[in-house]
Amino acid sequence: MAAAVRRRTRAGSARIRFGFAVIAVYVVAAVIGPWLFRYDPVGTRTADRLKPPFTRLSDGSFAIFGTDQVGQDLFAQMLQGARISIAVGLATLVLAGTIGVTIGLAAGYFGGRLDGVLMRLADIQLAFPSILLAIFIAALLGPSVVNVVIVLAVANWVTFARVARGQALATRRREFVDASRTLGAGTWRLITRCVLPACIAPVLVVATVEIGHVILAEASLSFLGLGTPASTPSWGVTIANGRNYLADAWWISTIPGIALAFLVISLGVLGDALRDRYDPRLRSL
Amino acid sequence: MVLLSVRDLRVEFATSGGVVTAVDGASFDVGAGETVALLGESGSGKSVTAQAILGIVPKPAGRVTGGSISYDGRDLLTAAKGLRGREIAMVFQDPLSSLNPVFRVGAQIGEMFRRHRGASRREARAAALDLMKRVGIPAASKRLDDYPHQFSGGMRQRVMIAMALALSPRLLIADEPTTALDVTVQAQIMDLLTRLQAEEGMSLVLITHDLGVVAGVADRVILMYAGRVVETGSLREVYEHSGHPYTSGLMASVPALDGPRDRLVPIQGAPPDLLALPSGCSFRPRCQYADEQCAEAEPVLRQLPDRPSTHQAACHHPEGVLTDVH
Repeated sequence: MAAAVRRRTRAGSARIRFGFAVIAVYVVAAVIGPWLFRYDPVGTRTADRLKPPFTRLSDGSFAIFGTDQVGQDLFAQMLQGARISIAVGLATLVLAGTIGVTIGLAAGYFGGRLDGVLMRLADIQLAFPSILLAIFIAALLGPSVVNVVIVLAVANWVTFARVARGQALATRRREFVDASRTLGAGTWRLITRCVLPACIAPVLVVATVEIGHVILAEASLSFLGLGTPASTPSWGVTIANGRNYLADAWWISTIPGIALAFLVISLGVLGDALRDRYDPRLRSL
Repeated sequence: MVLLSVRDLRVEFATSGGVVTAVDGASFDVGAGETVALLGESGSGKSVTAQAILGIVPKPAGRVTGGSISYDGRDLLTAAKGLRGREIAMVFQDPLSSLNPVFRVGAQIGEMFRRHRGASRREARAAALDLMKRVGIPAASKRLDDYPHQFSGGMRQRVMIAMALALSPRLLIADEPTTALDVTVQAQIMDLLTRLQAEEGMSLVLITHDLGVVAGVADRVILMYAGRVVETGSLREVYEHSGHPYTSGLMASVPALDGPRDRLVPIQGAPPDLLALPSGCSFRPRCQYADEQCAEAEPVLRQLPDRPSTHQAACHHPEGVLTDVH
């Protein structure tokens, strides 16, 4: 056989490309979509109520996903929703990641009593249902996008803390940390230069998996009326609005639902593939 | 002039099996500009001694429980932190694991200047390049932006040495610097260390279990066994007139290139279990000269008969050792 050099494909290349492609489409749609298809949150056009997908509306425009109960174009509404969902997801990850990594590094690096206290705190956090927490915070602060981010960050920092702590524990006793110390590096420098860089790869992998959960959680909260207010139509709000019309206008709830599911699945696939590639040890977690 | 002075140093480790005394009353001095070899087998306490000098005994398991270490008049047990890197530096055994894998070597060397001397990025880079040339890294300007894993073992050790030398320390501790390297590379690294030591006029503490590594290099030898110093003296005195049965045993177990090809004579028995050391002399169970006195009293370092005052051994029966071997 003309033994051409067989290129060893690295673990999950196809899955990673698929994941990135789907997410790129969503992100582009979220960023530029709302400029192309204007959405007015308070507009109503009773003539175009509950039109099915692929309908030409009274003003001559074409509603590819149909319209909702007040005559709003569902496609424009979903583009707006994508923006909110992704923004909330990213903001939550940044907040939860910062809190979690900081706590995890402190716990893992310093160990001892601090580690015990912080990790018990994490256990309590895990044992506490996040929906209950969300109701509590929403009741306290009122529903808003910022509050959703806070709720979701509080519910998700533990994962980051655990991963960062594990890496810190593993790195802390590595010889190059001792070597840096003998060459005069202080605690702060050891953490930022030696331990933190070792956390980045696994934390990014966790973040990819988590963002799917976070977007789903945001939709759930909004569906329950605890998330974003009705004026900022995240997918959860749109799905909730369509619930009353399921019998005669299935598309209002179904299409955003499909869009949401597809995004979350893609993120999950991407996260798993990244995990397989960059950290085989995490696979058993 | 004495630069480093260790007195009755005692380091203990809490293990699941009980408290291990890794270093038990070790005392020695290192003079300015002197090369001292700290010899001993695994578990003899030589690396822990180095950790104690630098104040990096692994906590919370390990603890310095007694004695003193003074460096140039300062108490190292409390002030080691400020001296690390500037005054005292260390080179480790495994040069791959002792370099940070995520930063380029040029940046790692340069960081010494940036952190301690407030150098700019460009100055630090130039200084790092100079150092890499000094430690003999070929094509240094190209390798500045390589990562540690792109270097061979010997080159990594050179990088490590460059980092240790960055701030011109007066004391360099090299913990088994050649153990992880090929034999030919070992010689190169030892040559480099001695050359740099002569250039800088710094003191060098060479920790090793390899008598051959020490032979051409050290001025003075300190032998440790089970956490205690058992013999100390100039290289020549210790090698030619071993006053402790452990030392003479070590000498007998090294093959000689020009000697007869007889079977080597190993030291009888097994290395000591630090959790269950024998009473009196720790070497007693493996020693042919042992008697009741050895079981009752722990021998202290003392001058050997008819030997210079610098040559001392901790043995009750040095006469026997001296006459038997030589």
